[in-house]
Amino acid sequence: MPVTPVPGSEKFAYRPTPAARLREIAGEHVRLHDVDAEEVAAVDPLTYEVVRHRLESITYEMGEAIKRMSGSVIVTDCNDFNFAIMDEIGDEVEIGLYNTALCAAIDMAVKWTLEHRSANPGIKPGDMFLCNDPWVGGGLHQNDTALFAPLFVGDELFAWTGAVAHQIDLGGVSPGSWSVKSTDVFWESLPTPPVKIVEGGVLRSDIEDVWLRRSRLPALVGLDLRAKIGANHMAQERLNELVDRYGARTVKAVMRRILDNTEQRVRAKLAAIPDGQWSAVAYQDSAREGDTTLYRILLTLTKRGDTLHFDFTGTDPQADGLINCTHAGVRGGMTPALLTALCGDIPWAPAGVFRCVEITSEPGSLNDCTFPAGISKGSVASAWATLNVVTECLGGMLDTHEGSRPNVTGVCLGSWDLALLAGLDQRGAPFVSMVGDAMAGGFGARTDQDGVDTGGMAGAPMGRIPDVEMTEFAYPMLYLWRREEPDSGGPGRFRGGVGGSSCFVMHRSAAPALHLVVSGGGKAIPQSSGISGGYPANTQLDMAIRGADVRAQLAAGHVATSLDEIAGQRQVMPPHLETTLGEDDVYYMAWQGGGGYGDPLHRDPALVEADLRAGKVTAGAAADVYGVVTAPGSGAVDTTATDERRRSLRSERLATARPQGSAR
Amino acid sequence: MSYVIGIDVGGTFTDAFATDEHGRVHSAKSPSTPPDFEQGVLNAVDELAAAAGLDTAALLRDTSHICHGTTATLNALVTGDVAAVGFLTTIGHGDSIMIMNLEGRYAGRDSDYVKNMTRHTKPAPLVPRSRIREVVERVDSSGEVVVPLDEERARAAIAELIADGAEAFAVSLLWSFRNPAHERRLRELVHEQAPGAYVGLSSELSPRIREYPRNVTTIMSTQVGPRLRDYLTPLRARLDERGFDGTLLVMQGSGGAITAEDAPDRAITTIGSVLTGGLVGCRNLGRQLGHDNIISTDIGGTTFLVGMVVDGEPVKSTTTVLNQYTISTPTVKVSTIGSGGGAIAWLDAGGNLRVGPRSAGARPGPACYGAGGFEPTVTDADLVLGIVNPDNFLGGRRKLDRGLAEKAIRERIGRPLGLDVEDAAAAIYAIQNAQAADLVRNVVVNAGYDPRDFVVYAFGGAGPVHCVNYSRDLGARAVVVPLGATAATFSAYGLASSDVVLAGEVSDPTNFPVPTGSMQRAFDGLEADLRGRMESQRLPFATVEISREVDVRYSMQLSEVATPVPAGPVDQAAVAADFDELYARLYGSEAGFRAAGHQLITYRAYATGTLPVRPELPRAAVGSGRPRPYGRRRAFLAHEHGWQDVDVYHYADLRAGQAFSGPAVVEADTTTLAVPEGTDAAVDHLGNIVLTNAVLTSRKA
Amino acid sequence: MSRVDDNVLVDGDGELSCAHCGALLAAPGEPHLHRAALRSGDVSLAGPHVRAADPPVVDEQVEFRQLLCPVCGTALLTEVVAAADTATRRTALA
Repeated sequence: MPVTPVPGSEKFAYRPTPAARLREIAGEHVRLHDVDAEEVAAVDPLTYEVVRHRLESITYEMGEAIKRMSGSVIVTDCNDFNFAIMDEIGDEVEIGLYNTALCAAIDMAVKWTLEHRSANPGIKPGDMFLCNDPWVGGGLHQNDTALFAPLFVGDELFAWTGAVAHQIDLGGVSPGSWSVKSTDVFWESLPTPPVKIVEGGVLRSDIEDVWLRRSRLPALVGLDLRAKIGANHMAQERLNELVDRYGARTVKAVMRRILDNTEQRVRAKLAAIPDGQWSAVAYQDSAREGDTTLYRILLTLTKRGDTLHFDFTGTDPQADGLINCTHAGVRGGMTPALLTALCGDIPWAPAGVFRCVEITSEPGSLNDCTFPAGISKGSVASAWATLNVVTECLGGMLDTHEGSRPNVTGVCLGSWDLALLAGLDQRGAPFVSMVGDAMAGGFGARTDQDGVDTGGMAGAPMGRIPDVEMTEFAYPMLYLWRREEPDSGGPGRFRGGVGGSSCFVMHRSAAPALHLVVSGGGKAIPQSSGISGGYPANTQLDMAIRGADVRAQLAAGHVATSLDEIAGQRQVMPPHLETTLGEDDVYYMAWQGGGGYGDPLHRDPALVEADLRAGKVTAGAAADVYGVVTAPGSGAVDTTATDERRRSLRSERLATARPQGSAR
Repeated sequence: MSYVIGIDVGGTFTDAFATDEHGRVHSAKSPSTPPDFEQGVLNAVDELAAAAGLDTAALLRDTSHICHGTTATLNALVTGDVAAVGFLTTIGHGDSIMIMNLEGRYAGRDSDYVKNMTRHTKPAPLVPRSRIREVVERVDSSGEVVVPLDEERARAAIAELIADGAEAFAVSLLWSFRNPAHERRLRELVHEQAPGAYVGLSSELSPRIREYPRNVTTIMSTQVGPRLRDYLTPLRARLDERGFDGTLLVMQGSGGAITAEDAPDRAITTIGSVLTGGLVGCRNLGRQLGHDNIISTDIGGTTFLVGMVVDGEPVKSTTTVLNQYTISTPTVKVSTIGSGGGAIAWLDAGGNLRVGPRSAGARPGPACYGAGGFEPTVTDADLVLGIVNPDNFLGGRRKLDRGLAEKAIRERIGRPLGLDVEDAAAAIYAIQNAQAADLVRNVVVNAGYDPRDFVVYAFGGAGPVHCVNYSRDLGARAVVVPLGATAATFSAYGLASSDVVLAGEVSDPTNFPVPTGSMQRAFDGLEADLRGRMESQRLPFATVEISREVDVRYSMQLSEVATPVPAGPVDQAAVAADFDELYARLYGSEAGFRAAGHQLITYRAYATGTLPVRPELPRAAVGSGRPRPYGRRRAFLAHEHGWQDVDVYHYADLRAGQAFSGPAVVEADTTTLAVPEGTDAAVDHLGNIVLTNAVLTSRKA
Repeated sequence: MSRVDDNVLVDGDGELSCAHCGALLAAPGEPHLHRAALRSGDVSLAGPHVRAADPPVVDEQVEFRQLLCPVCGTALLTEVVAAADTATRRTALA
């Protein structure tokens, strides 16, 4: 049943207001610092580089500061956070290298604040705003909490700093705030539009209490709040030093130049690439527990001259479930790919990049949903699927030009395999934790080399998973294994990176069972697509074996290394389920690799031989998909047999094929 | 025995430094002889003896110990010339070193690499899959055996490894630092089939929680242990042949030395060896000058290294990164932040002027070397700006061609940007200084400190050219340029003046308060072990001191802080309170979440044995008033002041007690020092030059 | 001739050919890869790593599809898609 619209919520459905209009509106109540075009042009190369380097340096320092101060493993051990420096109207000038998707919409939150808060309650020196409402901006779902602060120089609002991080739990029906039964946002954590939580330098206890009251882990969330406040303070101190040294007008001129420079260089790269249009589809299976619908996000990417048009027309309408994302999520799906594919050697100034980009997206669709659609998984569902389809289309485009070809990549880790555990740990204390292992996905293959095996996820250049020992120390778990999975990388002339699997049991919990929330797509259709004939990576598989005999096996001195060795009742996990894990249950999760590039029948047989020796590929796949035959004893490639096998596989392909005609 | 000798083996040069109990010092520099560095060491000893007016036998007979900073282990790891290791680990977890916790994709790499994510790669596996075997065993987080070691299958696995060509064996099992029994048994099983084979156990090498870095540490140590043994044993023999009867020490990355007999068993501790000499030199010199807090900046032709001394001790890190692998061995924290004097100036695709990170290195080197380098470097800019003297560079050892420097700068930078050569050179100089300041600041601040509380020590060929500029930017209190007796061989001096330091640690992650007596027991165990190892060094220590620390954290936060534990009976509450204070000092008073409770993670102890002969640096010749410059020239020393006529001094003409002001340049055999206007310079009693701000200037646009 | 991707070349008139065997894949003006052959079938054709969900998790049929060079059989595009979807992936070069 489609969600009932909520009159009165319109003002939160934000699309960034153009700069001139924003200045008009906010300018009535707050003095916005500005410089003119002449001053921007007058910045000399030396000053530009020195100030630019300093701004970059400050961003990295702030990232380190948040990591040191935060209390969430997600931040500290998984690097799921980021930081931004923005100009006076919220345009992002520098962002950190942690989770890039999280910085896709922090500008929206700042701009909204300028529009809607500058009159009442006002924006003054020493203020900081908190926001976890993805319709307004900030992050991609309610867990992503942004804390941003205006920096005043004199009585002018000079710049904004902002930190955003995933919080472990902010309420809602299910622990971790992933409400898998959700049919709309009212099942989930409450989206909070920008609220002035620090006023004139003082953290307001009443607002802090309101904020923390919703969480199952208020102490942790409170700690993160302080970490973000601290990081903003430090950034502003350093920016003040920079302004003292070079003057506000010069620093602002450099900020503008960074944006102009980024825009100019992205346009130059685009202009060199042949014009064209590339379209693809990203699937998601199921919007909530019990739902068996298949969903589609469609993208047609048009490159004309030096502009990119991302047209998501044809995307399915928003679903009754938790997988929708807001407009912030569309940007969150674009930003990581645009930055890593086009800005590897250009400052990471998203506002400059977005000048080259046009977005057509319909409110009420899966990745641009209206309130009160469910969005608690938005960041790693529709935003992630958006990133998949963007990666594919960009890949097709970049492949047409020699200069940009090295930056092509197949889709990385097509979906997030969530396993969230909650209960009592070994010491009897309550805990909530996501199994971070699933972040170890395969990266997509490149045009000249394989994808990185267990490389991570596309949105996090510096992602990380915890050591098994740290997990076993902090939580009541015992791992039977954590390993790479052969064949999980999409076959191709260059192979997608392999993903992996974990298998564990409860161990020494103070309670007899743990709460388990499962949410992982890519079970019906693999979501790490290949490019240029490359095959997709694996489908995801999550399974519980109930009443397993693992403890008896361990007692008898045996450690299972495959599911086949474990007796018990198998329960293959659907895409969403909230359940429990008991003392006699085993949990297995196998996440995705990266998509392949090119036809696997073209892969250099020597590489397949090496893959076999290194356990990246099984003998069956080597023979059936790659068409490579090796000698039984030595494992060396049998060239003649391989040529023959490949010839035969090609014939088989053509034998069952028909002309595709004009169907496409 | 009255001499102590320090030998620093570098990629290009091997430096030797000798001092005796009367304060006489001698130094020598000899080209290194890769791939067998041993000959270079012996050559340097010969040259050192000559410098002392002795024959080699006479010098060596009279030498109580030689402390040697080696690149052998580092080079072996970097080139891959290592022993073929078989890796034994817990069933189900053999892929740990492939997965690398993801961080292996980018660890230790700079931001330019990280941003270019579509081009990332992980390094080659440390051990190929064919030489990894999982053994059936399992210990849990409390140290209890969940599955006993299956010895039959282990024997079969070992046999396979041997058949696959394993020469040495690394053993690292989950939770072995809580319960090492299975690892020890595996060593016995290995020796059943391969008697005398080199076996590294994680529970001995790095008994610390987090299996991925522990696996890496154990494997790498095992890879290089045999190589290090093969290097040190013959070296020792050849020194003995030449009359040496004292102790041969090897410098460790932790800033203390270990005997050559001991080193191969803990080879991984020596990988930071070449980086530590300079930092230890700073600490020791700092003691003599009364500086407890030092930022050490070593800028050579190819690298820019930064380290810190805090409260009189080099700042250590409990992990280090090599080739994107994370190693859990305590090392002094030395960061490579840039490419030194050979950093190349270039224009990026947007036409912006950038400096580094690419370097022209030593070959072809800067354009002005005339050795085939055509790209303009920082050294070329220094030359065009009149700071460096082409006829007196490095004591005249190398002639520089100013025309080539100008050509490179003009063609690659000046013309495209519409700047004349001098302005382009000035821009390169200023960017290098600002970048250096940023990068040094990042290191200092990310370690939790404020650069304004520190004195900067600047050495290396290119350090003193830039040091006043970047130190001023940092806000440091003063800059010391070590010259005098230690100048040419500062790292070798550090080695000669170091102590023997042994470390032991054990993880026992437990919520606070830990069971009564367990902290004491852990430390007592570490101390007993260390004292035993100190005794087996068979050195005549003047003193042996034990220091203790424990890594503590708030239970929900990442950052573990090594909290000193004073001697005497252990007081848990005091440790927690000390940690709270330390944490607040490092990260801010709001940052610590006390309510989450404390966790004690790893206990660590150091035994420091001081050696009876310690180098006394000779006092420099004394003078007074202002020294006399030997000339003047036009130079550009700082952006605020532009081109000026500056005094030029020969270092050899300066005397202790003299003082002068910028703008000036000092030419020494080993380096050039730029003293901009607004900086005062004083020559101290050891011949170092100490620089302080006369006036702090700042610009407002 | 310039390269479109690992398998396809385009000439000045917009004619697409197979980079491996030279076969015509689309004449100028024709839709992209118009002359390619199409094979489809069970998802297991994608390899042992692509398993049909059991029990099924969505109520649509899912299939494997592959566009091939009609002469040498090189895979030009490989995908696993909903059987009902006809326009999944398209390219149009200017």
